[in-house]
Amino acid sequence: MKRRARTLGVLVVVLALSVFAALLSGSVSVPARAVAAALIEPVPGVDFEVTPSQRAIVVHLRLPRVLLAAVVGGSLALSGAVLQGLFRNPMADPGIIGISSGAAFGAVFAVTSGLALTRPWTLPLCAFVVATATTFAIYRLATRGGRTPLAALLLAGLALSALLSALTSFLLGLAQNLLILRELIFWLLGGLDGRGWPHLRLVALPALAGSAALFLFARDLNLLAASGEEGARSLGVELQRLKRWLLVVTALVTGAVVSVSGTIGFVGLLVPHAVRLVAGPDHRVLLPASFLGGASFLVLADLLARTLSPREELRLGVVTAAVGVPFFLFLLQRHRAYAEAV
Amino acid sequence: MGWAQWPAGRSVDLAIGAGEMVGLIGPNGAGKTTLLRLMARLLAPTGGALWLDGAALATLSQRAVARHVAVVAQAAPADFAFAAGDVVRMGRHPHRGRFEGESAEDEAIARAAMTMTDTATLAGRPITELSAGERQRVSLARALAQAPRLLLLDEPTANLDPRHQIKGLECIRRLVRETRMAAVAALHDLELASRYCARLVLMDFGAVVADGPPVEVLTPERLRTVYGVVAHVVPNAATGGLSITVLEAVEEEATTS
Repeated sequence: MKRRARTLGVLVVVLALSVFAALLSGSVSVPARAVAAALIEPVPGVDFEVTPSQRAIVVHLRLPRVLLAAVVGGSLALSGAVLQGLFRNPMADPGIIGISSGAAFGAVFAVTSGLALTRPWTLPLCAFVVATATTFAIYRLATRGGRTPLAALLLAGLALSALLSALTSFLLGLAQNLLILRELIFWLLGGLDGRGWPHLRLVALPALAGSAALFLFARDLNLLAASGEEGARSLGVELQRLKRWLLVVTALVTGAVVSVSGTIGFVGLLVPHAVRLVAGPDHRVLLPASFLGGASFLVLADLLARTLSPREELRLGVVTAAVGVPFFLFLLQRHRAYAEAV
Repeated sequence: MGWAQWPAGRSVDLAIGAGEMVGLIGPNGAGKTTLLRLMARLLAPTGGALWLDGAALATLSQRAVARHVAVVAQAAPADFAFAAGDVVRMGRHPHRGRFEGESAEDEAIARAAMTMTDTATLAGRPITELSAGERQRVSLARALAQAPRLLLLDEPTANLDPRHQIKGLECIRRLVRETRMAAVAALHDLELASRYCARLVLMDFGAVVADGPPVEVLTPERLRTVYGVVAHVVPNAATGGLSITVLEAVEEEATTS
């Protein structure tokens, strides 16, 4: 219990430091005192020296974007942890239930069909709707006689993802306007550029509420991970209901954040993995720790994306992949070393 | 119980009482595992019904069943590195509400279960590092931590060395006597079955072929017709069970039925 609290405490501190570091940095460097002052300003009775431009940068530009990175990163990592427990497969990630391919298709469709021009929220809405509809379709395809075998879910996910990827590529190929094409590809590679308070307000509630709901399933996930499906049922877990809930909430949470940030890979896969290596497989720690770890990870990745190149922002998905692949190789090496030593 | 491979219409009519230790025996594919799964409500019957303590099994929630029935499966999965002690404590899950934490009583029950199964020293070790036999004992400890009225075991001695085979069955028999728990164990080892179970249920092709004390069920004729072996069966004064010596396999005869 104590160790759990300590781990989570450390992660909270890491997140706070990451957020602060992200607020300091960017194309315009804002001194730490000014950042702190700008943040504390709303508190009545406090009077600090902050220039209007510093305030604008910190509060209006960076703060929403950094908070959004935290929410997106946390949600993706948490969803990854939940799906890894559900599928009892450490290689699972939110893409496995079709969210990524669904959101991608929704977004591309919205833009290439002209729908996105009608209202500002049409693109994220389309992405969200198609993403969640895809998960629903996968669930329906895989469920027969009131049972949803995980293998069937996996196969249905693969099939639908492949189909949607093909359709997305098809639509991209049709695009005549190169600028639009560029925008779409940037969206597909993931990014938080230009995202502000309105975006955060849109996704914060579903993402955070959904994440809190997922925390409640930690014990059930423990049973599932430790004893398998039949073992969990013999211990009183209502398995079909659990699968349904986990799929629905994960789809909603991931769909919501991906609709705003575009498809960002590796967070849902690697963060739970890394957390499990350090803190063990107990989901009562793993789930909140994954959320906190994912939040810090994406805040820092976004920081890199903004500041690495002076000319242009890097795509967030590229940064997470650049960090992700070496980490993967490291894990593989460790696994191999273990296997050889045995 | 209808199964595609077997002749339809085969049914099983069985009653297990409190304080009984029943050995479920029969050749491979006889339906022992299926019967256990039906009793644990992991499988629904295609016809007929099962009752637990007077309540129809189908009407009970999974949790309600889990408070009374515990299962020790044939193979214990080990995909994630949970500590053995944590796995045993999971046996208390059916008795706890969703938002309840672990009570001191839960901890005590779990620890007692580990002492009974000789797994107390394994408590801190991850199950991925344990041998199959050690994992089997941890599974038994978890089932005992559930404090069940009915304990179902599928080949509980399969991976165990002789010492732990005896200790495990001994422990179950003692619990059955002291707490009036009922136990049904599918066993391949006929001598162990005859030694520890006062009642044996012999299955073949999805039906119960014999039901009674070991000396009545395990006759040379039965062994011939059901198991297809020629064997000597004599009472073993040292163990209290039977000594079964398999001499040879019976040649396959062409059957038309």
